[in-house]
Parts: sequence; structure tokens; C-alpha cells
Amino acid sequence: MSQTEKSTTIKRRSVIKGILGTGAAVTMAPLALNLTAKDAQAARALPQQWDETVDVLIIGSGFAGLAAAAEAAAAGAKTVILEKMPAYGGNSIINGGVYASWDDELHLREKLKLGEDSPAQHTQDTLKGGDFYGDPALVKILADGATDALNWMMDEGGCTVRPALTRAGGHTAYRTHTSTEGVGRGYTEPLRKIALAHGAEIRLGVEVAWIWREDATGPVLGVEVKKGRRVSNIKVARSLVLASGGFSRDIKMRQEFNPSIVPEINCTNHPGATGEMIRYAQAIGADTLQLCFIQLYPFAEPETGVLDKPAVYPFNGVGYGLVYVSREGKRFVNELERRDVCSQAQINLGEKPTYSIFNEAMIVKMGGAQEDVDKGLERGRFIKADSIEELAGKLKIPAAALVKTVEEHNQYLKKGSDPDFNKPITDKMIPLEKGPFYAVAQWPAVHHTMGGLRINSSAQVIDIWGKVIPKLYAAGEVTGGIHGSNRLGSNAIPDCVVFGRIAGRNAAKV
Amino acid sequence: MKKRLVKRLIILCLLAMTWAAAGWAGDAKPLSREELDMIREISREIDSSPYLGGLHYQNGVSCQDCHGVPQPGWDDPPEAEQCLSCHESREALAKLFDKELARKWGNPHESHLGDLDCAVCHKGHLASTVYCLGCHTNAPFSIPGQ
Ligand SMILES: Cc1cc2nc3c(=O)[nH]c(=O)nc-3n(C[C@H](O)[C@H](O)[C@H](O)COP(=O)(O)OP(=O)(O)OC[C@H]3O[C@@H](n4cnc5c(N)ncnc54)[C@H](O)[C@@H]3O)c2cc1C
Repeated sequence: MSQTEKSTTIKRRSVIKGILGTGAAVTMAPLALNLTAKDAQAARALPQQWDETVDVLIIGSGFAGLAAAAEAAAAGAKTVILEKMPAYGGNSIINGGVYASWDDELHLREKLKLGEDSPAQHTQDTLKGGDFYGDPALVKILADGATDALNWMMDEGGCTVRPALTRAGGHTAYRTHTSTEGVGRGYTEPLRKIALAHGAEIRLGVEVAWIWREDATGPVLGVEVKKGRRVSNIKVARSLVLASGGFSRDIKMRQEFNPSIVPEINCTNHPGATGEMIRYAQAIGADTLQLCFIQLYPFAEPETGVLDKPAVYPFNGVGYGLVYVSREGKRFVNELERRDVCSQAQINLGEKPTYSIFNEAMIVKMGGAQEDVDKGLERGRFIKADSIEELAGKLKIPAAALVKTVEEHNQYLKKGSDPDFNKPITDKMIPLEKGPFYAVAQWPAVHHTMGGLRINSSAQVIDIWGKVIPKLYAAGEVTGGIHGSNRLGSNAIPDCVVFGRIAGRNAAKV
Repeated sequence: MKKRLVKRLIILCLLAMTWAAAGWAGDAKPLSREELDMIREISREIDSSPYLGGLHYQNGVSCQDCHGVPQPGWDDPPEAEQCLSCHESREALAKLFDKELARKWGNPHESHLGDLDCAVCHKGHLASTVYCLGCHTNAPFSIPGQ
């Protein structure tokens, strides 16, 4: 350690001890680091004994936590995942099942003759889609690692994908894959399988209530956990991995960083998507970035905000010619636009819902399945009709307007240009000429928090002084700085799995 | 009435044994004051409780029948296997669910989250709650023991 480093260390230590020390009761045990303590009363002693020690402790059982557990356990570490909810999987298991990757071991894009793509193009789209707020080095890791991560889940976990690829909002290539199950479970189950096969353990209903660290230079020591009313302390021998997801359901935190996302807006997330782990990490010195960037999913179920299978069709269908219309029966946006643009365009209409219109020929191509559509029809989520007029009647929107909109759009596809909204037309887009036609109602709901903990390329958490926090890793939605101001759809799964694997591998190192 | 009295006596005996056991049981964790109070309260109200514990008890099922252990504490809700030893199987339970509701909203006993522990929704000594409603806020699901 250099002389200057040493002296700043001492300064930091004494400053922190100073804050916590004054007026605190005299205890024998050293105090725990808490940079967010409002007063000395908040100071707590470090645990003097630990109830348990594990090598790699992972917080959260979604894509990131499971991928980290799989890699850490494979590297021989005693690995435990703690999950506060009574079910595993967080937002991951309920997710829409779409995964962006320029390639896959089946080489679907080549087989389906869907044009060119490359990791560099995926990187560029992701950076541009987030207004270049994302860290190019981290984005490159995501795009470069996406294919290998998908193949790994297929080879080792038995993951399968539908024989289709879509071009989704903000992407410039047909690279979005859909799991056979049509939901995130199609990836969480393979990941869980790999993790369990290597000996990782998943504990449900265990909530982390604090991260223990003694001072601003030392390593993370362990965590305090609550199971029911019992509180205990777990020590980490190798590392702690935070894979606790985003905070879309944390209304207070949302308001704090982005007051425009008002509490009344629906949310697509599971109830456990709250930000306490980010706050605990901040308390031990972790840096955060871009917490104000919060994304709305433009196509959630209008009443509840649930993102069910039908709610994925509006996202998946645009590369094949699906159109969005208002209650007036008119288009209102370039359907290939990013999520933030599509959401804002709907909010500007001022009246919910809006609708996606597609036909049968698009279903399989966009990664859908007739079986899903039939189920959605039974549930009243999809509306079906043989003609556009009839569809308008069922939706109670002006038939003449809808017919005109659809006919004009059909012409735009044939001409290859969209004078209304400047959509980049591709030859894969299908005109809405032949029925049966379908509609699904949609409206924006809070969906993804792009900001979070600052990490480096090794998934190590960085502190507010720019240094690595020893023995602390993070991956997945809890991290920030990858997707910038707007995450492109189908980029979260590769983000979580790629960085989860990196975190797990590094966390297992002694 | 007499039957109830006998039952209550049996329960109290069991509890007395439990409390005694708590004193000496080697590796079993001793029950806290709070836990003992909770057990007392539950047993006091079990005859009239509208919750699942009460509903079971009033149908002749004892505490140990569900909990499997003589001294259940905070964290000893019955395991799913214990429930299924009487309630057959998840598949059988799924079949009992209203078909029309299942068609429209899905079947809570075939959750897309996988096999949840029964106690996630079905609480013994608290109001039972349907976990699905945490997201599917408008699903018209109801549950006994509310
Ligand atoms: C409905 C929906 C559909 C989506 N569809 C897609 C899609 O198709 N493609 C795509 O790329 N992205 C999609 N996304 C985004 C993507 O699913 C998420 O970003 C991703 O699942 C995050 O994974 P994760 O592992 O970081 O966190 P999660 O999967 O959310 O897991 C984090 C877990 O940590 C637990 N946890 C939090 N705090 C604590 C604590 N204190 N103690 C213990 N446990 C804790 C949580 O309960 C949770 O289970 C979707 C998101 C939603 C909500």
C-alpha cells in the first residue's frame, strides 16, 4: 500500500469510526460500518459469533443468482442462495421468456434466413437504445457472452427455444429468441437444475436484513438474515453475491429517484422487487448509478399491469408487421420504437387502453404459439375476428377508421416506407390482409430499474471512492450502468445470466 | 361439549409435556416466552377459531397430526407432505378447483411458479391469503380460513 493510500485509509476509518463512535454505548465488539446511519444511535455491533459459514452466499434466486450459484458451486464452493419470497425465481420466473442473442447453437437466424447480425451490432443497439448512458465495456460483455450463456443453458440445463426469431423495438436485427415455455421459467428451471446438480442450495423465505462489514476498506464479512421471526448471522468464507433484482415495486424508492413515475402507475413485477439490498449495500460503501432511469413496459394488461403471455405479443410481433392503434383506430407511433417512446406515445393519448392488431400468419413467426393464443382467447385477453370491421366492432372502436389505418399500413409495407411514423419497413413484415385477425389491449406499467450498484467487468461492486469492495459481487437488475436510460427488450436475461456467471466464478475464488 | 373438554385436556397435557420437554430436550431449541404465549393463545381459541387450524381441530384433527412435532414453534408450519398425507396430491387438489374459474384465471394448484409450499396460502393460525393476488389483483379467488 502506498503512503497516500495508507493515509486516506486511516482518514476514512477515523471519519467513520468518529461518526459512529460518538455517544454510542461502549461495547466490546467492534461496530459495523454504516455510512447511512442518521445518528450514532443507529450504530450496531458486529456479530460476535456466526450461526453458520458458507463459501459463497448469493442473495436472490432469479436468473443472476441461479447463474452465479451454478458457476460457484461448479467451482467447488459451498454455495447457498437466500430468497426472501416463498417461491424461487423473482421477476425471472414470471418473465416473458425473450432472450436477445446474435446467434445460438441451432443457428436459427441463418436457418430462417433472417439477415445478418453480430455481437458488435448488438452492442451498438444496446448502447444507442439507452442513449449511450451504458458502460460500453459492460455492454460488450453482455453481447459477447449472450450466445455462450444461451448454449450453456441448452446443453447443461435442457433449455429449449421456439424455432423463431423476432426483431423487437430498438433492435436492428432478428435476434430475439423465445423459450419453448414462452416464459422466463424456460430459463430459470434449466439454471436451477444446473445449480442444484453442482450442489448449490436454495433457501426460500429467508430475507437478508443487513450486510456486515467492519470498515470502509475491509472485506464484507457476512449478512444478517430473518426467517419468520428468527434472526441469525451467516458468515461468508469466500464472497457475497448480490443478485436481488430491481426495485420497481418499491414505490418510495421510485419516488425518491424518479418522481414522474407516480405511485398510481401499475407494475409488472413480483411483489418482492424492492430496493432494500441496494440500501444495505450503500450503507457499507457501495456506489450506485442511474437510479432515476426506470422503464415502463408499454404493453402490460391495462387493468392490473400484469405482463402475461398475451402481453408479450405486442413486443414480439412488430418485426412481422403487427400494428398499434388507439381507441380512435389510428396508429400513434413507429412500432419498432424503443419502449420509452412507445410508452410515452400511449400516455400522450390520454386514454387507456391501446391495442395491438395482428393476424394468424404472424403468430408462429414471432415466437408465439396457437395454443397460447387459444388460451388467451378463453381468458378474454385476445379478441378474434374474421375481418378488420368485425374486430373493430368487438373492440368498440370506429370500424371505418381502423379499416383505413390497416389498409394504409398494408400499402406502406408494399412500398417499403412509412410516411406517417417513419418505421423502417422490412420484407419480413406481413400485411394485415388475411384473417383471422387478433387484438390485444395494452397499457404501460412500471417494469425495469436500469440503475443500481456500480460494478466492474469482473462483477465486483465498486465503492463511492472508486475502489473494489473486497468479497462483494453483484449481477442482474440490482446493478446499474449497463442498459443506460432505456433497456432494450430481451436484453435483461442475457445481462443477468452473463454477469451472474462472471460473479459466480469470481466469487468462488479463494 | 364433553368431547371438547376431553380434547382440551389432552391438548393441555400435550402442551405441558411440550413445555417440560422444552426444558430438557437436548438439541431441540427451547421455546421462548413469546412462543409459549402464542401456543397458549392458539389452544385457548382453537374451538372457535375460523382459521384453518381451528377448522381442522373442529373436525377432529389434532395439533400433532398437522405439525408432526410435539412442540411446534414459530417456524414449524406443517410441511406440504404432511398436508398431502390427508389431502392426497397436488393434482387431486387441482382437480377440485372450479373449472370455469381455472379456464378464465388459471388454477392456483397448478401455479406457474411451480410447487409452492401449502402454507404460503393456507395459514393455520392466521387468516389464509391467496398468494396469486399479489400480482393478479383482480382474480376472484377465495380461500377457506379467512
Ligand atoms: C413480468 C416481466 C417480464 C419480463 N420479461 C422479460 C423478457 O422476456 N426478457 C428479458 O430479457 N427481460 C424481461 N424482464 C426483465 C427481467 O426478467 C428481469 O430484469 C430479471 O428477471 C432480473 O433478474 P435478477 O436475477 O436480477 O432478479 P430477480 O429475478 O428479480 O430475482 C431477485 C430475487 O432476489 C430476491 N430478494 C430481493 N431482496 C432480497 C432480500 N433482502 N433477501 C432475500 N432475497 C431478496 C427477490 O425476492 C427476487 O426473488 C421481465 C420482467 C418482468 C417483471
